[in-house]
Amino acid sequence: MRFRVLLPALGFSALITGFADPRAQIQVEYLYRLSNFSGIVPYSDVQLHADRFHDEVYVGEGDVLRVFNATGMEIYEFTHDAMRLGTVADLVALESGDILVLSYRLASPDRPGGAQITHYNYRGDEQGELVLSGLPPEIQDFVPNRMIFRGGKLYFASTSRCLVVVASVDGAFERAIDLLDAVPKDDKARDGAELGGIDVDGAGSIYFTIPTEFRSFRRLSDGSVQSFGKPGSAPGTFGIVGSILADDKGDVLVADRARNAVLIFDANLRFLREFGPTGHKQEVLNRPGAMALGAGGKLYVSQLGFRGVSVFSIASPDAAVH
Amino acid sequence: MKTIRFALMLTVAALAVIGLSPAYAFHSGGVAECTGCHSMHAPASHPLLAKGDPSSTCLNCHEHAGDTGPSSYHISTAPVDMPNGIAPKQRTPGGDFGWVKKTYGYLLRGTATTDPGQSHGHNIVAVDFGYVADPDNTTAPGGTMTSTDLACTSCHDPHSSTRRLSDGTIVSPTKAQGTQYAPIMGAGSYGLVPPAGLAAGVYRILGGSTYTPFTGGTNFPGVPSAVTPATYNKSEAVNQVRTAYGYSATGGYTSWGQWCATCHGDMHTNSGYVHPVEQGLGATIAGNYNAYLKTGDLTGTTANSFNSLVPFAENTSDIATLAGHAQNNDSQLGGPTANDGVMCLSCHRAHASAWTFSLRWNGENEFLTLANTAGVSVYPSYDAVGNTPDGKTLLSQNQVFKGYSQAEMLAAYYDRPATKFAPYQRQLCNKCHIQD
Repeated sequence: MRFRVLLPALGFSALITGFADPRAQIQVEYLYRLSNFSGIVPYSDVQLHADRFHDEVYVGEGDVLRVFNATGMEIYEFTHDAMRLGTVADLVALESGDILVLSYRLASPDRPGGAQITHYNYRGDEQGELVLSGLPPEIQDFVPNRMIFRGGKLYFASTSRCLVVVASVDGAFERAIDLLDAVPKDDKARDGAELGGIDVDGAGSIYFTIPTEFRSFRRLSDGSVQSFGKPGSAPGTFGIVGSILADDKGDVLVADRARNAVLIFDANLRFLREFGPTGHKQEVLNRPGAMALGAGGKLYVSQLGFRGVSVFSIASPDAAVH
Repeated sequence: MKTIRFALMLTVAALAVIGLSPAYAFHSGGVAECTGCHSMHAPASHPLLAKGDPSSTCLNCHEHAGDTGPSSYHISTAPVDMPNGIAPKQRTPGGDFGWVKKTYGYLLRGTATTDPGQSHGHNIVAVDFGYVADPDNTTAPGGTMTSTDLACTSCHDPHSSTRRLSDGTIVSPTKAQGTQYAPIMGAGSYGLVPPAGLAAGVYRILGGSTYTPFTGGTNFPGVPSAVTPATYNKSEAVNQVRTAYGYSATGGYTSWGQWCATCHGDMHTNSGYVHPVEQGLGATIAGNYNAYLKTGDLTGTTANSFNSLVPFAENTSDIATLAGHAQNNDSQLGGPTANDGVMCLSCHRAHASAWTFSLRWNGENEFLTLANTAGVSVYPSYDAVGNTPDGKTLLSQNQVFKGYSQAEMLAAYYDRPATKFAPYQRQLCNKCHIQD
């Protein structure tokens, strides 16, 4: 058995063993927490984006964006003018190294409030605004708070409306997708439902979680929807589902904010294993928030309570998570 | 092209339906899914709570980093979303707890002054989320409850079994063996009237007569009545969100004042010479309320005088009546009658606000707004541009804005533009007392 992805441990690392399930071949290894020359950066509930092209990770915290290199050390910082542009809600890095930052711009005397997508170059110099254009009149008030760049498309999501807008890389509206279509019309969990997390894979499938449903969903590009998971506190079950990620193979990682766990499912949505609730002190997660998959199977997990951003290496015999 | 257009129409139609959906999932008026709060195998605190304390367990869902604005059932803004100059983002009627983390320093008439965050509301203890006990008050103002005990669960009963029956009466089952009681079918905050044999929850699963807010305290005397619109967490830049508060002291209900007095007894009329609650406004005060729109404008009528910065308690607990008034589209702006009453929530927000003592407006200065050189009402702020008509810079009027940015001033008044007020708007006490 050869692991295509097995990163060397940096600093303290611990091998987290799988559960008894014979499918649990995935290995998860704690690597480190994002740091600077003063030590671990005590982040709490921040926004993340992993730039797989350049093996870097971006952290957005209010009005500051920091860039960390492949070994988790801070290498750059720049400021997002939150007073003018709003606080950082999400960010993506493009192949060119340019960065898009999503925020909510408050109304000013000469301009109404709304979604603000600010374009920065790799140095953090503001390059202008990317305008989400062509929205149908009925969703002119669409205010996204998540942004994903996948397959040359920009996906914007409003977690409170469970609505996704797909746009070209220059911001031109292409289509809207109502994710609540995945929930039966008479399901009481539709009422007040919001997204706990959302991701898109290379094939255009949308993965999302609805905390009040205690379930996760995969919406394929043909519009069909599959759900998985059920409430519980045992391994493999959901407490409060949050962030969700899909790798290039279709394997899925779901963060559980109640159980302090990250659950891994295979492409058939079968539970493989989880980590986070127990283990060595540094491996234990505290309310996993935003997650990002970086180059070489690195998983970045934002946490609450100033626990910072933990980085894990995830590897499987056939490079399940990569 | 026709197919695309049709698909778009379907999407839009679906969105229109969603927009009308009420928000009452998860708690559903009573005890929610157990595993949303409890962890059987990896609890963080007693009793098998998923997070470090009761309030942190609540905020696990009710605070969400990355919100861009008011969002569904969120009642707290994460610190990363409100750096200096940026206000908390939620606009629920109860207010955003994030304000208790916002401390301001400013020069007041030449003296360095601090507006401490802890003065802005209820200092719940939610350690995982950075909320700590009130450092100034060791006990509840007007009461004996220790500040370190204050939690969301002091007011809200997470296992609420208190229910409103089909005839409108409130019961709090003892859950004694051998008893029977109507099952709760859904949330009691949005106007649900259950059929016979079933029940709705009570407003905001507030503690009822079998619930004690803190160890050693007394039970609540009943539950107060209210109905709020399904979409209650929203900006009031254009339309107001009207929560229709009610009043009854029978049928299992208690007044808002008596309910709050469970912890703040000495603040209540019964215990001293304080602002009255629990009594009808009377014709004079009700008439004032209905006439007063803003400073210098007494042209209001009984049909258009409601102001969500000064709500009142209607003299009824009839859910259908209250539900008819609980709107977020300015379709119900009727003012009070002489029999309606003032309550604690007429002046205070239940969670927190931008202002000291969780007041709905700045109670520490005679003016809420100023004017620019054109005489138009404006909020001063440290980043304001321009002067007042008498030549003072707007950014120097600290006594009005207390160190806030323009964005924070707007947020403090739920995004109302200053022009909703008069230039040199006086305190909203005048809504009832017209002294300006």
